[in-house]
Amino acid sequence: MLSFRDDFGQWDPKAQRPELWSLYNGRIRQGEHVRVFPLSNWTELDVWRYIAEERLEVPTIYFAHEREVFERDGMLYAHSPYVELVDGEEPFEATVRYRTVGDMTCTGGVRSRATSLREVVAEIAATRITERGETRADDRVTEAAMEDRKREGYF
Amino acid sequence: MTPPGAATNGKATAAHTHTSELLRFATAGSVDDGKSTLIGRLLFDSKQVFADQLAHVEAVSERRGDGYVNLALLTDGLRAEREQGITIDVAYRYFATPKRKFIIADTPGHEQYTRNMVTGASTADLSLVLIDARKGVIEQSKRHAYIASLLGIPHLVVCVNKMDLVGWDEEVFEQIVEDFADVSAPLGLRDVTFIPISALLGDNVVERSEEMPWYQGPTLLHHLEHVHIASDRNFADVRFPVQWVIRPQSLEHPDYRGYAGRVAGGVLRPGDEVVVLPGGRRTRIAAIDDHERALGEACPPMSVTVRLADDLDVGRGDVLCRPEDAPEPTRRLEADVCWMADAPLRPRGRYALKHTTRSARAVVDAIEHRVDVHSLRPEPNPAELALNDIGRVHLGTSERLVADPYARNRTTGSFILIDEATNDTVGAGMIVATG
Repeated sequence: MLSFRDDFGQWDPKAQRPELWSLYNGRIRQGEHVRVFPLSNWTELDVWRYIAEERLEVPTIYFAHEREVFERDGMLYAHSPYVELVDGEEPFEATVRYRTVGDMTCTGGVRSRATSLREVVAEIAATRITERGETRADDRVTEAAMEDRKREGYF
Repeated sequence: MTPPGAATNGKATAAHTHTSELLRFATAGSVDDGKSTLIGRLLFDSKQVFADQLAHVEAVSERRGDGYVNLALLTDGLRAEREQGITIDVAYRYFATPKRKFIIADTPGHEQYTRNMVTGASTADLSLVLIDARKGVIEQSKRHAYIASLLGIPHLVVCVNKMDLVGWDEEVFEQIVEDFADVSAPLGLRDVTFIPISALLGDNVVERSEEMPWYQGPTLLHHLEHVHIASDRNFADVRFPVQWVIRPQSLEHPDYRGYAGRVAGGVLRPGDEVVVLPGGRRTRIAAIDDHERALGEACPPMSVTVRLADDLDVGRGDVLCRPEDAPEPTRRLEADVCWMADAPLRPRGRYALKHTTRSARAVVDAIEHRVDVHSLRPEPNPAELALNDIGRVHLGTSERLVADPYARNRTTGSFILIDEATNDTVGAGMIVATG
């Protein structure tokens, strides 16, 4: 749950402090900092069930909406001035929602009709593809892209 | 629905009910005994593997030339782990069935990873020990049983794996059951369940084996779903370590003064008499609140706010107890310590100590013995405890601690030692005696 970063925000997976019982050691030296991930053992479904139960407000981009998209490597990306289409790629209208919100150039939307919290929960409960596999292009580059970015202090 | 680790306060009115939804279990095994395959099999057969994860595992299996879909790859999370072909640190995996949620603390089984096993075991409700049916009970199996008993894990499951390689032979299984009993009985392990399995083929993991009709017990998953854990915690001795004093001093709540924390033992009710330790002042519980309402009672592991009848000086680190079974605050601890740092623990060594919500300083008075991890026998008067050693240590502390023997309470009986120069967590302590 606790992740220690040096002066440069870097994470060393081999120097992770052991977390025994509920006794967390948050001591740091000057310049260092600690990031806490209290929800790190929640699944995507846990998160949405919690949002539904507590009726939390979430950005509309998480619900199904009409958007101009194009298809690349089997994923749907938003058509925008920041992405240049290559031969064979044609923008079209589709009803999509985002399972994760990130850089629009590398975060895909998914085809969805879910416009309410209840429908989003039902959709995620039934999905057979992980959120990372379906929407994160950068994760496809290497098997450990997320780990590499964490080491660099990306999150 | 309660997400794992979420504040469960007040969602359950009857004591204990909300603890049984989540089972944490620790696994330890050597490189070849099929532990990763077993976990992969549990995830796969309980339909916890997504299509893209499976496609990935199939592709990697083919690239490596495994010749089959290597389910062990499902559990190999970190890059360093994949590159070395072994499991590093403690890897936590999550899965759920309609009956329960599970957190697996997966650690390597070799003695050089004792500290990882201890870390994974510290929060486990159940320990899963894997034994290769061809090899029987080996030194490492004994060490795993020892760690399970040392860390007070209430339930142990011994999976006798690779039964397919011994012709599904009942006698092989029975011999291992008998041999293991010689190990577990002296350790005082109360609840031990044996299951013959083949992780590779899936027998008795999720699906019942057709090859071993002589085995009438549960499959591994069935056992994990049904083992009774709700009464494992101490519901007898009231222990409430104060984490935080809540005093909003707002217009809405000008006089509210509450003590927030997580119940570590016993059942607290409004009206109960309590003693605030280590100070010793007595008062009564006026009310117990969670984030939205007043509660009739609170028990482990609920997080609540307690209000007291009298205005006493209570702060973080103080513990509310019931006078009849309150411990004597102490500055002397006798404890089993697992050492986790390269620089050894030596007599006169000074460390920061964290126990419940209290931080103090500690000095090592003496090392009584060191447990030989091969024979599991104590060697008296060692010069030091090195990395991955476990030994009996006597400590003096700068402040009075409100502590219990670990065997009585895993929360008030445990502490960590921190190197004050590096801030690393260097030791895990389980209190044997106080005073």
